[in-house]
Formats: sequence, structure tokens, C-alpha cells
Amino acid sequence: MRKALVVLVAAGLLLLPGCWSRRELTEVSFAGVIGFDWVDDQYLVTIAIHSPGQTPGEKGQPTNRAVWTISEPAPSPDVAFAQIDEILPRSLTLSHVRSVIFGEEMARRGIGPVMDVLLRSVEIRPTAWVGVTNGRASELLAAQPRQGVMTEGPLGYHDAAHNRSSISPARRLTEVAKIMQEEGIDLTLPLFRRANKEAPNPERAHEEGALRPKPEDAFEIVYGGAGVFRGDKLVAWLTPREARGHMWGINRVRHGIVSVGCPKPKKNQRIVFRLRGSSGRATLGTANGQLQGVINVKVVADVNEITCREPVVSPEDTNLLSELLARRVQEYVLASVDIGKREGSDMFGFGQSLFRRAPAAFRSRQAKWDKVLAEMPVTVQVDAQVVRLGQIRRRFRWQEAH
Amino acid sequence: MARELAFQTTLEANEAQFKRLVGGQRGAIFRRVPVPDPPGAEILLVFFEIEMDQARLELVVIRPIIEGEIRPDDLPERLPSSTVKMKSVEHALENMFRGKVLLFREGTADVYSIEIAKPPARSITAPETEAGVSGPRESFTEIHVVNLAMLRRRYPGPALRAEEVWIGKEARLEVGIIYLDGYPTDRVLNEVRKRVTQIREDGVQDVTELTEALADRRVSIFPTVFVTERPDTVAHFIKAGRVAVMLDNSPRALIVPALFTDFFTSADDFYEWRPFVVFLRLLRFVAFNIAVPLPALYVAVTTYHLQALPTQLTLSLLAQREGAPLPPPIEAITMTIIFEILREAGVRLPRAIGSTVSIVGGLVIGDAAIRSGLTSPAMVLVVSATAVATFSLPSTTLANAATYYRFFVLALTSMFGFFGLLLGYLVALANLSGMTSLGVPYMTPFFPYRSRHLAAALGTKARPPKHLGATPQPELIRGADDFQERS
Repeated sequence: MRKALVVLVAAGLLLLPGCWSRRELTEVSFAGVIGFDWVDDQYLVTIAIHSPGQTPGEKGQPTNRAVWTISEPAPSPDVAFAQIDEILPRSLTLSHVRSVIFGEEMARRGIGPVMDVLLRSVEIRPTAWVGVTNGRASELLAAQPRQGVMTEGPLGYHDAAHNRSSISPARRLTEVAKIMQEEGIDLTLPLFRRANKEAPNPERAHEEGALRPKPEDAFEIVYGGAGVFRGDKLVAWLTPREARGHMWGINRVRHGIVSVGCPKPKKNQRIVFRLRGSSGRATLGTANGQLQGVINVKVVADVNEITCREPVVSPEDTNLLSELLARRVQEYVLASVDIGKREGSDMFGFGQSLFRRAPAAFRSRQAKWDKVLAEMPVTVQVDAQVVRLGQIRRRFRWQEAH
Repeated sequence: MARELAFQTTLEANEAQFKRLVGGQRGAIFRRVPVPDPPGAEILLVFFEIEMDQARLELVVIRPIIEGEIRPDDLPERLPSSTVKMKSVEHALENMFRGKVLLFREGTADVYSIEIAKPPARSITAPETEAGVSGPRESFTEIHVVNLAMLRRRYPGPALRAEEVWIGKEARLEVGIIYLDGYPTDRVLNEVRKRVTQIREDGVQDVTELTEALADRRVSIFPTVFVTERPDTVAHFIKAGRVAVMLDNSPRALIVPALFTDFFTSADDFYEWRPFVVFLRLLRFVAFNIAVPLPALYVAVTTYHLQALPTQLTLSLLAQREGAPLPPPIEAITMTIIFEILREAGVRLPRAIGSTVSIVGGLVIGDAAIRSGLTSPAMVLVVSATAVATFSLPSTTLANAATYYRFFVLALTSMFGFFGLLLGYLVALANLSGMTSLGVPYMTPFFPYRSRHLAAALGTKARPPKHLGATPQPELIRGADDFQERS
């Protein structure tokens, strides 16, 4: 009896898991990035596949492209995966996909069906990053950036950028799914822009953290900004500055620099703050019986640079610096709020805030929530603290450059 | 022998009888010593020449008899204190073969044996297989009496008991059962006595041959008897309520009951700074859990669970495995076997050649295997890491168990991936949980769970206690023993 039980348990353990599908490392193609485009009324799925010979292993640093891309048009994403699997000499594995990129057309058409495929897959890790690009994902994947360490191909640096960026809201697959499944909140995805050869734009000279293309490169991938969604559809873009405003509202800014003009504005004279920490929260309140959005932001920063001619650092001036910083942050946040209101995208989750407190009240307004959002006043309250002013006791003297 | 053997009353008869029994043997000496009073009388000495301390025999026995200092009537009072009256001819023969001198007198059947033996022996040396950084630097020798003396010096108290048991049928050998009075439970002690006295085998050469008799199961992968060559380790263990079994002619001691955690104890553990001992003990647990499953893990992640590793590592492994001719399971089994062969070769060869083997094996073969594409660098790394982890285990018997289980788990994993690995571990755990050493559950204090003794298992209480009997480990054994009796 006891022996029979042991045999039964052992047989069950061995036969039930169904793990007989042995697949060796060398029989597999590892996908690194998947791009989704909508071209000619069908999906165009592009996969960046790791080229193992070029990965730093036995032979040290690689010399050629570490990834190569393959694209397949198909009526559905999964069919495209199957087609690519058939074309490839080795079977396609999605278990090491690090990023998923949606092309603009695809995003405007709606990413819901693709998300369905991605989340049903047992292979794709829920920790994969998700982004959107303003052109075609297939072109982005084929790009050869300077910043991306060659081992990873075009998106090699995205892991790092995702983690430290304060100008683009990094999202993992699970987070995207959660936002898309919840009531009263809309999605924003980080923007990967394929920038063509162009001179640096002087207008964007002060956009913090934006990676600008080098003139000698054919093209470059620029990380910064965001795509704003309404439901599963892309409706607008945020510049890096607006994206940061949005990120303050959803408590995603941790570091970065904020540059403001001097109290007496003059060209090339600025005060630059480095953030030590920041937090933010968007809630919904009522004022005079009307819904009112409130975004509270707290910012703690050090002074990194002051090139103003007039004196700004004295005990009284600490308040002045705080005010300047607070005003700047407020501008950023309000800029993103305006875009959300204009496009009817509740990217700060005011609806969610209402739904959690009063589901019925939200339900009654849900159908015309974009109108409610457009008419709803939103106040931004910024509590800014300037902690360190630097060690300079007396200003350096310099002459104005002409 | 058809005739009943008995001592005779005349020297001639005795001499004839013993010549018949041992006369043909090389070195058997029959020496008649004249006695001055009464004139013409003689005493017969029978012994093996080669084992005798001739000068001492001359000085202590022969000369005093010749010069009349010892008269035959004074015997045996005037002889050395080790003199024993023989009960039978067999008894006398046994003593003679053990290197004693037999003394016969005219007109009486009383025969005595005198211990003037000088058996071949080596001196006390530093421990070789249990080398340590700190602590005493002596190991047991082949002479039981010397070993006992070493132990008595390490524990000069009245509680140290050394019982004498003789094993074998014809060529009997002395076995010492050593313990501290009142420390082991009676049940454990009686069990040891019973199992040792049941040994009927003749010509046992080393105490490790008794392991099977002392173990609860004849066949077991994990060791249940602890073997040591250090007297200080024996002293520590008997203070912890264990029983040591030693054999004349064997430079090692067996310690029972031995628990699973004991095999992670090294000689240095008793002397090092305690928190560091805990760290080392944990490190050895980790090493054991590297030594057993590492090749299997490698096979699992490269053959079944490609998603389990970080991407960079996966790609690096993939790059290395490009063009490798053998599938990972075959590669792993082959490399592990080659490593075992190299190890065996290194152990058996003289030290000077041994290092050559390790150079040829490790550097030349390893490098050539990678260069020729027969194996991947990662596989060599895995096998080397496994080897290092195995070497870090203080007990060679445990290291052998790890080697067995490595192949077992590797075979299972090659077929079933992580499930095989899990299955292998479950089998090991079931096996371990069911094992006992002299009736004491082997996995104490984990099963049966003894929270108070977990610290002892980790080495925090490995040092000698401040007060005799205050050590927690006798309680541990007693507690576990009670458990056994209750269940």
C-alpha cells in the first residue's frame, strides 16, 4: 500500500508537470525587443533578436551588431509570432524580451489587442518595459544608436534610462495592464523618438536630460517625453518638460535638474536646482459643490548654479529661490494638466480617486468624464525647499559676454 | 586439534607442546634460563624474538633469575607489574602472538605472561586529513595504549571511561569504548557494547571497518558514524555525550551517535571565534548545496528553463555553447566523471606526481577541452566550482555522499529539469529524515525539532563548556533519544 502510494506520487510528479519539452540553449533564438506597427491594415511585428556571437562572452567585446531584426506582417500579433518562428532557423523564445515598443499608428489604433496577446503569453516576463515611438517601431528597432551599448542593440540603454529618467514615465508590462484595467485613469507611455540628423534646437537647449542627436550620426534614439492615451488609444504627445510635470503629479520624479530664469530675466542667466527628492499626489476634492482636482507636489532641491547678476543668495533669498523653484514646478505640472484636459485623458487618475471614494458618483459621470475633466478646475500646490546653497560665500566677478 | 590442550607440569612436556604448536614459526624462541638455587633447575621462556625488547628482557627477567635475585618461588611477585597468570593454553598462545613472554617453571602448571614487547610503531605526528589552523597538533597512532594516554591527557578526570572489548574469533583484537560516565544514555551505551561484541570477524585492520557494524543501516549514502584522527576532537565529542570506539592498530576513532550537522564540523570549529564558526558552518551548508546540485542546475537552465537566468547571463552562456558538440546533460556527466577520475588519480599518486596530475588535468586538459570546442568554459567553471565546494566539506565521508547525490540529481535533472532537481532533493530529504544513528534521529535538531539546540548545530556552543556537564549537546542526544523511545 505504502509502496503503491510512493509510486503513484512519483509518477504524478513526473508525468503531470508536462515538462518534457526539452529545449536547449543553442536551439533557441532569444528575442530582446518586440515592436508593433500598424501598416497597410495589418500588424507589422518586428523582433530584435540577440546575435549570441556578438555578445561579450569568450571573445570579449563584440565588433558587430549584437542584435538583428526581423519583421513580419500578419493579421494578428500572434500569427506574426508564429510566422517569424517558422522563418527562423531556431525557435523563437520571448522569455528574455526586455522592451515592447508600439509604433505611432499602432498606438493611435489601440494597443488593447496587442496587450491581450502579451499578457496571455507564458513566456514574456511581466517586468518587460513598454514604450511608444513617434514613427514606426520597426525603424526604431533597426536604428543603431551611439548611446546604446552595442551588446543590446538599439534599446540597450533603455533599462538604465527607464530607471533613472525623470522626463519619461517608465512603465512595466504589468503596470500598463493594471492601468488599462482600472477605472478612471488613463495610460501614459515613455516616448522613444528616432531623431534624424539635425542641428541641436536652441529652443530645447534647456530641456533637462533630453538626449540630443549628434550631427555626425545618421539618426539617434532620443528618450524623453511621453505618449498620452485615452483608453487604449494614443491621443497626444508630451514634451519632456510636460512629461516631467505629469510625472510629478503621479509621484514618479526622483531626481533631475530644474532650471529657472533669474528674478530679473536676462538671456543666459539662470539658477539651476538639482533635485534631492520629490513626491507628488493627485486627488479629487470638492469646492462649492463642484469637483476640483488638487495636485500636491513636494520638492527638495540644492542650488547647483547661479549665473544671475543680481544677488539672490541671502537669508531672505532662500525664500525667493524656493518661490522660483515652486513656480517652475507648477508651470510644468499645469502644462501637462492642460494637455490631459484638452485630450480628455485622465492621466493623473482623478477619476480613479473619485471612483475609490464614491463609485456611484463616478459611474454617473463616467460616460461624459472627458467633459467633466475639461471643465474641472485643477489646482497645483507646490511645497519647494531649497536645502543647500553651495559653498560660495562671495560671488565670482565676471564680465558679461558680448 | 584433536587433543585437549592443557599446561603440563614438566618443562620438557610444556616445551614439547609449545614447540608443536608454534615451533615451526620464524622467530619463535624457546630459552631455558638456569636458576642458581637449586642448581641445575631451569626456567623456560617462550617468545617471538622479533617483537621483543631484548635488552629489557635481559635486564628485567633473565639476569635477575640467573643471578638469583628472583627465585622461582618468588614468581610472579618479583616480576614486572604487567605479569598475568595464564588461564589456558589458548590464552597463553594469544598473549604470545601479541608479543608477550611466556614463563614456565618446573613442577607446576602455572604459566605467566610478561609484557616486554616492543611492537613496531610510529611516533605521534600532526593530523594529515584533518589539518587545522588552531588547536592541538597531534593525531592518533596505531598503538591503542598510546591513543588512550593521549585521550587521558586531554581529559584528566575520573569520568573518562575506557572499556575493553575483544572482537574476533581466533585473531582477536582489542576495541576500546570510550565515553564520559553519565554523559551518553544507557541505551546508547548498551547498544554500542552490543554491536561491538557481535563482531566476529578476524583480522580487522582499521576501525573504519567497524563502521558498518555500528551504523543503523548497512547501506546508506550519508555517513552515520563520524571518523576522526584527532584526540582533541574525540575529547570534544565525548563531552557532548557521544561514545568513541577505537581499535588497536588503527589511528582513528569512530564517534557515535553522529548527527547530520556533525559532519559539517571541522577541527578548528572548537577553537575559533564563535561568530566566525557560525559563519563557517553556514558556509559549509551552502557549499554542500553547491556541491550536490550545481552541474544539475547548469543542465536545467541550459536545457529546460531558458527563462530562469538573467538575459545577459543567458546570452553569455549561449555564446559559449555555440558549436559545442555534446548536449549539456552528456557534457555535464562526462565532465563530472573526468573530474572524479582526476581527483582519484591525484589522491592515489605520490605527492610529487600528484601535483603533476592536477596540472595536466586542470590546466592542460581543461584548456585543451575548451579550445578544441569539446566543452564550454561555463561547464568547466561549473565542474571546478563543484569541486571546490566538495573540497570545502570537512568530512570526506560527507563529500563522498555529495558526489553520489550529484550524479543522482544530475541524472534526474537531465530527464525532468527543475522537477528532477526537486525530486532528487525530496528523495534526499526523505532519506535523511528517516535515518538514525544508534537510534538517535539523524536530522536532530531539525527533525525532531529542538529549537534550543539549533544554536549548537550552528556551532555557537561548539566550544567546551565552562562547567562540566553544562554543555547542551548531551541533552540534545538525550532529548532526541527520548523522542525515539516515546515514538
